[in-house]
Amino acid sequence: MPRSIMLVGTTTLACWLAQPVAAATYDGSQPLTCAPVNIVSCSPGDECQPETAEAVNLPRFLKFDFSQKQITGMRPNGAALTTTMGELRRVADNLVLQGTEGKFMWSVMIGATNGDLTLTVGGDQVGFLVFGACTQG
Amino acid sequence: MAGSRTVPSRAGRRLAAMALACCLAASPTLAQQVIAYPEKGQSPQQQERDRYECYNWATQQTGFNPQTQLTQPAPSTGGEVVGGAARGAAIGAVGGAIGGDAGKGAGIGAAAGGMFGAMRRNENRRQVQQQQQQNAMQMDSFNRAMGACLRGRGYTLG
Repeated sequence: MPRSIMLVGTTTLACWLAQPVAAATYDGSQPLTCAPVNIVSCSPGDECQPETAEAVNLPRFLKFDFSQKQITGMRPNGAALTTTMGELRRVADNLVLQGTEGKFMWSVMIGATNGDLTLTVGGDQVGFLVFGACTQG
Repeated sequence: MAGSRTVPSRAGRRLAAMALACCLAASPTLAQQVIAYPEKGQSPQQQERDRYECYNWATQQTGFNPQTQLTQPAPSTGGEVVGGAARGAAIGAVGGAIGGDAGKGAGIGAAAGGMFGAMRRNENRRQVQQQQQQNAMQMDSFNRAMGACLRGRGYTLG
């Protein structure tokens, strides 16, 4: 009897472990949380310089809500930031978002298979390039 | 006895020499960046005196005193978060006006700041880098002046 119980238990465990893990999706069907990792700022006639999210006034985490068409984040001082998603399209299966905000224009690309984040922000004689990573949720 | 001179004792002369060496050795360590070999067999005391006088001369010639640069605190490299928030409010007001709601624009700008519209370069860091570059150029001029002075006093520079 004990042997049969062990056999059933082992078989059940093996079946459970064999279940495939759901892959993360970066196609805009699920919300994403993205973190800037590498940031560079540039101005004409000046060398581009590395920055931190805090130094350029960018939240350390950006939440993409595709159903509400909003990008939200929170500054270190607790102020909530919100940007409305503009146009959404796909380029080689990668998600591309674009929009404007005040005197700035921005564009985001999220890798379809790995969630890599590429963000560019351009203003009057100033530009920012942000590389990061996204995860579902 | 009137008119007689007092000759310093040997101990007194030693104390005076030590005091002079201490004063001369207190010349900034940066003066040691110039490596100079005494061609004429100058004594250690003479070398210290020459370095001290050449340091002062180089400072006068270049208008740059390395000792002053060492004691000045470095400017902060913190980001301009406060300035960004203020500018974010201004930009938000513009964005609100464009959207047809100028009354709410400033509020939106201050409270939300916009995700990307409030981004600003870290000007403090650029200023620090520029200051460091300027200091390096001035230090180079100072070292060349000090080297010229020491060469004129019979030293070979390394």
